[in-house]
Amino acid sequence: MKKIIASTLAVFSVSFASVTQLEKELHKLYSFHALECAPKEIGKAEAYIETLKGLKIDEDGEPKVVKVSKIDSLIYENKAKIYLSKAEKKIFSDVDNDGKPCYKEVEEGTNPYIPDKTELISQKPSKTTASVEKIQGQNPEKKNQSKYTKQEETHRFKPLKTHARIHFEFDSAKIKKEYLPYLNVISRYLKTHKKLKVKIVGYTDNIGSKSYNDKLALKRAKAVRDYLIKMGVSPGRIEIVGKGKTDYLFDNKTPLNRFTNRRAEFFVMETK
Amino acid sequence: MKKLIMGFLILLFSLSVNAQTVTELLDEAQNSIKMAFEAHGNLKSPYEYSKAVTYYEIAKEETSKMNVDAGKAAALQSIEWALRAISNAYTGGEK
Repeated sequence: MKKIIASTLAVFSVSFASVTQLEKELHKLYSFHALECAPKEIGKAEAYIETLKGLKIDEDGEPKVVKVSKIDSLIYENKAKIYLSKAEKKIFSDVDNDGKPCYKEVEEGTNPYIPDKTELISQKPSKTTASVEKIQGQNPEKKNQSKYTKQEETHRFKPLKTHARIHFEFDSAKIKKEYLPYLNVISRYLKTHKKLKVKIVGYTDNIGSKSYNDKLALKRAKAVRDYLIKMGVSPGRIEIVGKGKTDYLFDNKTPLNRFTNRRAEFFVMETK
Repeated sequence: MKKLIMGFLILLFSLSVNAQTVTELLDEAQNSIKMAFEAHGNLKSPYEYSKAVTYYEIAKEETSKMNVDAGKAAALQSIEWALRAISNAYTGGEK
């Protein structure tokens, strides 16, 4: 009898320990951007782990935890392990062959499935840098030197600069849900590049008075700033400006054009 | 004898009602996954979609082994995650 109880307890403790171990492994992978690099594998592994922990069901209004049989728990545990190892492989693999693993690319805000051309350009001595060096050789002035190094920097961060723009609904400073993943990428990029700071400029369309639109533009910039702060970017690195009814991208004749003009733009700068 | 037959019939009826509920839930889960796939949830929201499919697999497995409660719970989870995949596919928002 004692032997039976001891063996039952041993099996239970082993299964409990393995579930916690699997959960630890899952959390470890989460810190390496598992959701971005291997969402399918993580979803599957999580479903098996949650089943091992016990499924919740409402039986006549009372919550109840349902456990699976021991054989099934062994099968699910094995499957969870398989999917976790698959996820790990994907996280540390370099899909686009640009020399950077997936998790690193996500941290830097670049697309892990498209080769990062700008990084390659910045690593290799390109034509522009060669010409810059020639110019510096002819006129070795410090002012010029700093100017060109800045140009190089701006070239390196071009992708973020050119595409960093979000749009708003009419008379609203609320960030649309579809832009949140995009803002998350920007915040991750800013968190990994501590030397950079960002200037957010809010704009409006031509409807309404100038004073009201100036306030609304500032509100839009503020909304973006608040979100970036919430995501962990330090407030000292964010500057906001409200420009209001100026610098339209398109004429304000159609609703789509007005929507395009109602925006907040990001300008990434290097800190001194 | 009458009591025995009556008891057997009640048992059969309760089993059939229970099994039907699981079958209904499994059917519902399958439909939800199908809807999520048609909304391109497998591409736009792969995490939620794969979780829904895995729970559906678990529900089928557990139901086939007569663990009806676990089958029901897994099917419900499958429906929930499939719906999340659908809503993410349409809104494009994060979890």
